[in-house]
Amino acid sequence: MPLRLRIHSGFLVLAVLLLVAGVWTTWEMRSVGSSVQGILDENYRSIHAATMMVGALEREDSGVLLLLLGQWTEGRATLAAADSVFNEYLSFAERNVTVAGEAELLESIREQYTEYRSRWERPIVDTPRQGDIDWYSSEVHGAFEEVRASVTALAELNQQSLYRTASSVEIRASRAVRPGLVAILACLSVTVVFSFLLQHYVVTAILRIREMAREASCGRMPDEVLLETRGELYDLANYVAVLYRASLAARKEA
Amino acid sequence: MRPQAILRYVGLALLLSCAFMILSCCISYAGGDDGLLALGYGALVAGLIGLLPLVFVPPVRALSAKEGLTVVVLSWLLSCLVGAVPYVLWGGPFSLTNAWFESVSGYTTTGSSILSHIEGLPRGLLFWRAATHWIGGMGIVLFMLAVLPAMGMSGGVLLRSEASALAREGLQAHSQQVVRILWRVYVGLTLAQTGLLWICGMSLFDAVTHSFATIATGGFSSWDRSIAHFDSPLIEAVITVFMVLSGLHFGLLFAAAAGAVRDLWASDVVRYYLAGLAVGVAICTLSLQLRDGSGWWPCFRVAAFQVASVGTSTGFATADTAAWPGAAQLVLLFMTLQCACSGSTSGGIKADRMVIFGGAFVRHVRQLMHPRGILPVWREGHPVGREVLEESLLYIATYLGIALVATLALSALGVDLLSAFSGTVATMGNVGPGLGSVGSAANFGHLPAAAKWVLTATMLLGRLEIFALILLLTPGHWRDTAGY
Repeated sequence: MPLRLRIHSGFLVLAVLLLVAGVWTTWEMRSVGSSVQGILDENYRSIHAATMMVGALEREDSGVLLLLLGQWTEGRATLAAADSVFNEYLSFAERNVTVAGEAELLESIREQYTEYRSRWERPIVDTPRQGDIDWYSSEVHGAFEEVRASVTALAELNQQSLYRTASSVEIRASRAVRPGLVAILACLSVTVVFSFLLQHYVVTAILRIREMAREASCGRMPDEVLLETRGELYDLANYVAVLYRASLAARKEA
Repeated sequence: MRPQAILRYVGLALLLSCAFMILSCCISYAGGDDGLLALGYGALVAGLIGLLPLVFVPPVRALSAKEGLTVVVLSWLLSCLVGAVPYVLWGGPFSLTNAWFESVSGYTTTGSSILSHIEGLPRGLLFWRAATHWIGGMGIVLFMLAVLPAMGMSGGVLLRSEASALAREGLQAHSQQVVRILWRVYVGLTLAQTGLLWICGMSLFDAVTHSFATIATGGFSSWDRSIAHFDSPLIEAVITVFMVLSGLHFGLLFAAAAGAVRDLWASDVVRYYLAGLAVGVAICTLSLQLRDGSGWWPCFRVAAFQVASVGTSTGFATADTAAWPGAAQLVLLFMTLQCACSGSTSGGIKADRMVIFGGAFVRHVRQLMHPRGILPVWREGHPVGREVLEESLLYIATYLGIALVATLALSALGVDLLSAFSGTVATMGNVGPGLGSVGSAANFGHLPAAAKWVLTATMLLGRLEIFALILLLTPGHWRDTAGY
């Protein structure tokens, strides 16, 4: 194999190892990035929506209690504001269905909420229901608890999915580092081996040829060319020997 | 010592691993699993590092004994290192320590695993695990000799370095012929078992991987429950027969296949090995029957399989031997220490050395009775030379000494005594499963990282028959550069 190709081969090995590891690591890192984005898009927003819905539900419950106490204005205002927030976040969650079983859960939340809403939509103040704690306990609070449990289940479903995705991101991140680590170790090994081979087959050969040329210039020349390598350097050593013999013959002729 | 010559041959060993990684890549690609990239990069690393010395170093005509030994040991170590790359890159349960453990266990044909869910591995990696067994079973260097018949004088040196004196004894032929015989027996047994397992109802993939693991006396299965997964007496019978055959001296097997069956039966080592297995099966069957009373056939079925599995250093499982009665466990422990014949792919102290040890013991007793008598130790109808006798007894003593030191180290690391001792002898004998928390139904994954490093050292010591590795670690081995 030509000397140039032999020297290039070592660097080529290093380049290929680093290039492939680099491309792989970049690809893995990109997938880690998209997984993180996925966590935000798919899970975090649904969890936030569920939290807001629970908050709205609890404010609605307070509104119902205010109506029970006969405070119509404050009660209705609280209920209207909380209802608006709940519907806004329920619609948001319905547009962001990403986990298996989430759509069915949202459907049941909407049904349960419609049922719960129907309980406090009808007039309470100045009716027999005002101050009727038994009616609140049996009719309203149960429906409220049902919706809240479903919304909490929605949050838990997304939290579990978030945990799973986060775990896979951790694995991917660890995977992303590994090609680089392997490439570093492999390149270090190649560097050591390549340096030794260069030293042994190129540098040492050149030094021996230099020594040979120096000996020839002093009129001494070994009979045999002692080089382990073949190819250009071996040829060079032979040419030096031929040159020496030719100059010796020319000198004798002269 | 010429490092360039060593690099050339170690490079060839890495290229061998590269070839099998490429094969695993093809399986991964065909199955569309996620092991392709890890195996591909592993093949690239092995291939490029292996190829580089070939570009510079011209073929070496003759290697010195020291160089041969260094080539053998470094080939093992670097193949194990490169073999761990696909595991490291695939990730999952493979930390650096776990990947190294799995790779060493594969190449040394130990079969101990850190995996609790083997079926979760992609097919390409499963094939790679089995392939490491097959490469290691025959000895990486013997593989090289078989693949590259043009090694000339270097081949003889490498063969002497790879195979012990006892292993070479049954092979009275030129080194190239020896390699050819071993190679033919190895491939022949693998093909025969693959065919039979396929006929018995295994998928081709399972048949190939389990044949690789059987003939190499490895023990890696592609199923969590090992051979128990198939629940087939026929499959168990086929594997049992091939495990026993793989524990025989390959030279004698070759002779038997060529018609000289008498040679096989004439061997006192073979007779001892087969009788030992039979007695082991009988004791285990009896103790299981006495404990469970579940019938002789089911007890015989599991006992025969487990005794053959441990007694040949394979390590497949059809039962949880950690739950077996004490007597049966002691039989398994003895089998784990002893294993099968020299010149086979099995590990352990080997039946040959046990026969020599027994002979030396009897001779000593007789010598006490006849102090002036000249009483040789006999083996295979010939008196055992003093050198072989000393080497065998020293090997047994060193083997047990190292096993005790490793047990001590594992105990110090918090492993319970039974698991520590059985785990040590199982890894050192290249058997695979031990007892206690590292039994046939468990794995080595829960052990501390340091314990796994200790066990990989014992695997390598056992595979390289101790002295080769110790010699390489001796500073004097590297200091003296003359003599080739």
